[in-house]
Amino acid sequence: MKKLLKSTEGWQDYIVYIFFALVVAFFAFTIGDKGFLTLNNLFNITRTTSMIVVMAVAMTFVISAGELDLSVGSTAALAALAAGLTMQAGHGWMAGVMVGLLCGLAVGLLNGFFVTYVNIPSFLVTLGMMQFIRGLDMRVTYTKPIPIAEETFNNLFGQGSLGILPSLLIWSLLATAIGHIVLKYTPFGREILATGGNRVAARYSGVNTSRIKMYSFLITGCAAALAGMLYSGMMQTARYSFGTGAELAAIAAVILGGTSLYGGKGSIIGTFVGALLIGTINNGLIIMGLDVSEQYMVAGAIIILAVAFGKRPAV
Amino acid sequence: MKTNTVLEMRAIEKQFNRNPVLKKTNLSLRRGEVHALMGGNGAGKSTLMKILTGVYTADGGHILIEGKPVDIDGPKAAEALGVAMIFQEFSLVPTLTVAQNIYLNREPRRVSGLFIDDAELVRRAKLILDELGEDIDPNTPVSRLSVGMCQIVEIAKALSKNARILIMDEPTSSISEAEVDRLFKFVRRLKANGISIIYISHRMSEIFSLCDRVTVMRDGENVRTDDCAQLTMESLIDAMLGSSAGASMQWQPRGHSLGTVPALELKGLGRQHHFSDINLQVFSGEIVGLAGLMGSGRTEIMETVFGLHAPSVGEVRVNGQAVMGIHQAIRAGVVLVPENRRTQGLVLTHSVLDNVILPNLRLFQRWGSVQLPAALKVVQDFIRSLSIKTDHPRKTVGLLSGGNQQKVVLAKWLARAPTVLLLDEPTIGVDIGAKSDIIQLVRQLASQGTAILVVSSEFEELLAMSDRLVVLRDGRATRVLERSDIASEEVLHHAVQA
Repeated sequence: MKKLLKSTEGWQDYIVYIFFALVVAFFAFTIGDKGFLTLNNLFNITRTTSMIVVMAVAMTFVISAGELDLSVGSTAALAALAAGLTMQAGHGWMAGVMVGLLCGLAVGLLNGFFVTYVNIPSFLVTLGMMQFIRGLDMRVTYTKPIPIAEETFNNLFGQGSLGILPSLLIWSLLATAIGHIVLKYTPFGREILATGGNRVAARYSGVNTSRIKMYSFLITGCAAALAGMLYSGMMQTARYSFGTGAELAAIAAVILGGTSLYGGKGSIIGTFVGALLIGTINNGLIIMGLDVSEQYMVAGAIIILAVAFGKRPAV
Repeated sequence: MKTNTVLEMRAIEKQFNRNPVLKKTNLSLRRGEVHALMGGNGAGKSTLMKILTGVYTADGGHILIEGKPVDIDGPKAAEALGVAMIFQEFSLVPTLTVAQNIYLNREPRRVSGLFIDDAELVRRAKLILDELGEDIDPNTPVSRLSVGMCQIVEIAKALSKNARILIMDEPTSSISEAEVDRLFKFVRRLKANGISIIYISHRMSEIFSLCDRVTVMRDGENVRTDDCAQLTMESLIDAMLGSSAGASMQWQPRGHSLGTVPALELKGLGRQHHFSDINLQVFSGEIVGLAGLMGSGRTEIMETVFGLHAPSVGEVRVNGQAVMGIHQAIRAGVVLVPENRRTQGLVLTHSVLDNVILPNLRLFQRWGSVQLPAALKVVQDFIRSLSIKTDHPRKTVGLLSGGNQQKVVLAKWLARAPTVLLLDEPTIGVDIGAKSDIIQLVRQLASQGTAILVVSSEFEELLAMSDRLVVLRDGRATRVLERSDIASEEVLHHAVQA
């Protein structure tokens, strides 16, 4: 009996995989014949979730370090607009990408500064930053979209593919792989987890916890900028409204994936599957013909259920 | 005689998963008695107390209160019978006042029970506190009270529910010396009022100064119950460990020679509001004790040497080199086992492995990634050599006992083979077995050439380890005593307090 208990110990960590399998199976049986199971649709799911994946992977670092970043969605739009304007001015796609990434880094730097040196809780800093940047997004072009004519840019970030793999899928796989290796195997990743698990103990172990937190905000800033490139590459346009609500989807993906909202415990693979789960639910509900309002309700309910099942009993 | 016994637990049995934890254990408590319950971790003390407070139900045996057999089938039943546990982790609401806490959920009402009668609440709380001879304003928020005062409020709360039998579990583990005195006076007053107390503590000196009788448990069995006057510290340790381990608490003159240059040197070290003008040399192979009360600056000195705080004057030298800040300190081989292992020493939700490698990640790094198999091997070696009781290196460290957690904190730093080891309360809250293990380990490290600076509130432990003692008062070093010049614990007490 004890052995059996031991072998099932920690099954809650895998709840996201179980839920993902259940949801896919459910849709396969109910709407498998309506096009859910076609390769095209499956790729479509990965394409539309790739921005959330990229932001959620970075979010896993911030949350594991015991912080939160609500500003990723509006930062994605800022980076897209900055890149779009740079390209519109005729500086080429490389300059556009550079400017976009710099915007993301700048936002990350500001977030990190206020959290680590001014000591404001990250929830408040990034809540304010989210509003501020969204306002900035609207102000930059007075909400006008900026068309992007750079073929290379659009192919690289949105439209193109490598063999049968869409480039959007490649970006999200790349982000997941790098994130997984960094969080799990490098000293930096372990210091992130230790900082989130117990900041004082980490400091007493010689970890520079302020620097660790700063880096984690630079990572989300950069990832948000990359997500901005993906949004604008896919749409061949930069819009102020990109990434609205994406911060919440990203956080949901992270928590579904088994990362602790209190810090100290994180799984990048879980996050990836969490994001796919959200994308699959949305896709399936659309094919089933549900209204947007109904989609929201079902998706919200499933997230609460999955987290409730995945909750460990208090030790 | 019979009426004088308020509680009798007879032949109590309890097993978990067919593992017997209590094997016909007995405990008797007299009216107005402070009765120490002692034993190492796993001896069954807390299981026995959980049966008494109704958290667990016994598999066999009888409980008699005031001579009448009783059936304690839940915490409510225990409360009704006048049994109360004073918790180690405090169960008061910090934002509420003393009076509100004492009568939480039992507030006097007015207007047909619609509103709380605040005036009556305060009046009743004041009455209880006065009766106990404690001058605490019932309107003070609990968050403004010291830990020691919180315990007194918690006891007042229990007594307001007519508790006659109190269980105190390590009540002095996180309070200052002055508060210990106050608490002991308070306990003696309770005693005089006919309250009986079961007192759990690992601190020998407290047992002898406060308790009337001692029951020692080992592996779920009674080993010995005796009047305190009949026992010596050695005989008590022997009873708990079941061998002649009492000798580990005896000082052993150093058998090895010291280094010639000081491994650690503090030159005129000072930090504003905390300590000043500390001059100290610790040679390789030497154990130096810092003796002082809580608030004498001992922890601040340790943390400053480790580089967690910048000194305002003076310097720290390691093997002759000036060292500033935690990163330089760690690189120079200075390490600190901090005062509080749960908040400062460990990431409790992480595994033993993750905790041990945390300060040593760069040692196990190759091509940018941490080499886990190599790290695992080192950690397994430590689990063996420090005899850390854990089923697996990946077990969550928060699930280990206090003594084993403390060994994990030691292992974190021993992996670096430190030059200077700073130990702040190395055996606080650990059972006697782990305590003697840790003391042996410290001696062994010194014999291998580590310079060791140790702080402890327990003088018997300082005296067991140190070659030299520096007495601290109000942030200044007032005396330096060679161990061989100290005849007894009283001498040290006197030096620290006078």
